[in-house]
Amino acid sequence: MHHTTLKNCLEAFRLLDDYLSRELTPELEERLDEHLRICQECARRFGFERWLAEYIRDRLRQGRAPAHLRAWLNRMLGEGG
Amino acid sequence: MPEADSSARARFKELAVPHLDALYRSALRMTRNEADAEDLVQDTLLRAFQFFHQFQSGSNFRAWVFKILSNTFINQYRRRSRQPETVSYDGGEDFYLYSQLVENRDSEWGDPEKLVLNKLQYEDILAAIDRLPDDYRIAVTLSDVEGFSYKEIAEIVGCPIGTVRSRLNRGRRLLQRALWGHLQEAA
Repeated sequence: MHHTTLKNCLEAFRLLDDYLSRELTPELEERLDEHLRICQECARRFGFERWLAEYIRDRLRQGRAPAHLRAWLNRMLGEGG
Repeated sequence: MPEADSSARARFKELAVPHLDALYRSALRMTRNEADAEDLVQDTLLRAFQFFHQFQSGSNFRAWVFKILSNTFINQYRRRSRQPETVSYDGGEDFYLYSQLVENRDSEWGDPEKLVLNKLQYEDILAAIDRLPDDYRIAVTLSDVEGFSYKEIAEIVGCPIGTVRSRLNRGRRLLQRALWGHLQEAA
């Protein structure tokens, strides 16, 4: 099956959110990958966006519930579980 | 304790405990306040346990309990603590932060990634997210921090998938503007 390539960078830009959310269809993902292989500027931009998203996620996922909240849950559900 | 009750508690505990950190993190982003976040998580878990008999074994417990978190926040906390929104959406542009970093690059600043790593503190990211309007902040938190899919977020917050996509798009753009503001202050 033939996939038409993305015509230009603006077409690629429209895929940014789905790309970051990993919600592109396999066909669109392939077309975007193809564009990123030939367009250095888009590759740089999309690369930065994904890097930033992962950096933010890694930093924010370090947040932990306070110990007394965990203790409350254990009491509520019985220590022995 | 009756046998059925005891086994329900054990099953609930097994399912809920692994999500406690994520529930608290998300509650903290929703309420932007530690005391309210703890209350919100406690209310959520009490409610989830109360309605645990309605949870279908084998389905997605994480999405189910986050839906209760979201509903509890909207019904009890948002109403109570509603504040004027601090930002308005003016259209903005994609790749905003990247474009600013590249346009303002000089020998001291170096690569965009390096600059973010060196100048953007954990607190700056939290502050930038906390400035987003409720709906955008919740969509960005559920997607970009907790990794829920469009479909799961739509079910959790009770809106169409198209609305989730639009909130994420606007939320991410606003977030980049706020991050750029923090980077300029740090420069």
